Amino acid sequence: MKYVAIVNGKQRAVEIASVDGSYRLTIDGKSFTVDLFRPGPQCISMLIEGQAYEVGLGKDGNHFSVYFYNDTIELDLFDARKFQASNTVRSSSSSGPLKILAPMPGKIVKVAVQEHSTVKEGDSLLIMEAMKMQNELKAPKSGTVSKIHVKEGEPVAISQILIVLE
Amino acid sequence: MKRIFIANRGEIAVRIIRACREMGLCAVVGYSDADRTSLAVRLADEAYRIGPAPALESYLNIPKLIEVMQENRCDAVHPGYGFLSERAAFARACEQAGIIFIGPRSDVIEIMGDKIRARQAVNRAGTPVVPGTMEPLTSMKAANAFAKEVGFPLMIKAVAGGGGKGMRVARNSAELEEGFRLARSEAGSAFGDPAIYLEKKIENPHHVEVQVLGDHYGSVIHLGERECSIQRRHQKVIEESPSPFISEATRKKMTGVAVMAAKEIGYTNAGTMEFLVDADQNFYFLEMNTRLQVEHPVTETVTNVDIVQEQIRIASGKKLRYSQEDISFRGVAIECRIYAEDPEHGFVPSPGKITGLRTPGGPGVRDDSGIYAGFEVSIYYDPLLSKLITWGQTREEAICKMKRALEEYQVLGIKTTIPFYQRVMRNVRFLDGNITTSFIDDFFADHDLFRDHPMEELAVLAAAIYQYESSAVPPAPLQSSGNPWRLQGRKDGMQS
Repeated sequence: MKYVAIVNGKQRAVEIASVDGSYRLTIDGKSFTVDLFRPGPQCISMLIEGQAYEVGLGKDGNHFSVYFYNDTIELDLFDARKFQASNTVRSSSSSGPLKILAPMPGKIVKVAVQEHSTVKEGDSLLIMEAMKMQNELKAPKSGTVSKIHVKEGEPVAISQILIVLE
Repeated sequence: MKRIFIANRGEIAVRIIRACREMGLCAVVGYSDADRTSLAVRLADEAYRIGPAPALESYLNIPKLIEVMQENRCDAVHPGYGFLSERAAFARACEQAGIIFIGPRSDVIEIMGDKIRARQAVNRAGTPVVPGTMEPLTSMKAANAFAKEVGFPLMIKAVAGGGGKGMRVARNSAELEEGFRLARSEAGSAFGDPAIYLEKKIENPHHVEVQVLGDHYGSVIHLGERECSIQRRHQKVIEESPSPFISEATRKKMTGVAVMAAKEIGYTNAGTMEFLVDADQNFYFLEMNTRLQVEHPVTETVTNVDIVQEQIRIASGKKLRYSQEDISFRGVAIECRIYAEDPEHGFVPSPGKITGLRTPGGPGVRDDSGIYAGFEVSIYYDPLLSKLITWGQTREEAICKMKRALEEYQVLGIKTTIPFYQRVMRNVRFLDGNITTSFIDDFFADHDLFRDHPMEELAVLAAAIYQYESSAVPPAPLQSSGNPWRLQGRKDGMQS
């Protein structure tokens, strides 16, 4: 099985096969043999040439968040066959509308922009409150606010669409 | 005193339950609708509903709490920290209802809650305070006059303040004019009192605080100091005792004035005097917290005094069990506050279900926690999950234990500050011990952003295996022809 991983802006080619109860993997040609045990659904214990590692793993679609004792590494993993196709879709959509999603469940405290107003990258879009703390969401790119989906005081769920930028 | 009501939640409610249990007292927990599933309710002797999830309608609802305490014949209430712990009105309502408030008298809470009156009170006892206005400021004219007298930079603070609200820095007269206006309006909306005052800004201070205990018979002792300079946006995140910065002479002076000031104001129960210390070891009174502190375990660890049990004993009218000479200090303790926040994305709160949990153990490790595997961290309250405390003969040893314990600590399903603390524990400036309150915001945060990621390849391996396993066809289930023991026996038989 072949995958493409995107991690910290770099593209890595990954190949994996199951051999005699272990996994054989290569990353950009470098090979690893991994003995695996899963203590829980989101936990992986790996032995790689005797070195023991344990990671926590969260997955949302193609996006992975891999937790080590002192770092969390975020990466995207695609099936290599589908990667080429999805890559073209993504690059064409990057100039299109950008949906600002709620990074956490909470409540909208303040909407700092209006529909059709223009914003610069880094401008405040809205303020959300969760767990007693207020968090400011900023525009990831310059553009025009084409749609505001929430009102002040409204509770929102994680990944709910808040604002669309064009 | 037999039945203690706990007017709080989370890890501190669990901490108070533990003290009650050890003293043979009945622990009665009040819980909101969001906390029926909490560890505190699971561990309590008795638990009663106090209202809906929003704190204003439950943990901050004084009439409701008094009603529930009376209905269930509680003798005393422990308010923990936060919520109603420093509200004079709550202490007074308890006093009037004949319920012992485990803390100082309501009038003392009132004085120390008013930043200007608190400054005046401790200053009378000879405690140095940050140079500042001793009266609330009402006009820009008075503000300008003060600025001329002591010079910039200045801090603009709310008289009723706390938690950084209504607090601003002014580095010149334009900033003072703007800050004066904004701070008044912020303070008005946050505390219902627009009164503000000015203080000289102490540049790059250390935050050091002294724990005191006072009984109802005039005895006051101190339990040494805690260094709480590791802060993120004015919020303490790592604390230790003793302070690695102050000299023995400063320690002696600081603990001395703290005890004097507590005596002068007639302080009873556990309290903390916070000080700012400058590079030359000059120290200035900042404020007094008239309650149990989040970071009390570091003091408990180096003194072997159970502060929560002492609070309960003092409140029940007993004399202090210790004189100052009985208190000795042993080794070094460090605490990390484990928050449900994502350190890789600006520390945004990370509520949700804890799908896996492994807690640290072994020598010199204490985990004061309010969570369990399967617990859902709610969006309604503070994101503090637990506090991890380690002890060592020396600071180096305590840090080694902390690194080891943080490695063992695994919280899955939500993001926590654990990996961030691992990186702080490896930072040379932290190891050096000369840390000021701007360390994280002005230095470490940027440094951390550009760190190496040596685990990158391993992360790719783990993700690829996870993806491969979840997309692979699941193996056919074993025939239910027998139990696994017998199956294993058959296999062994075939091999032999």
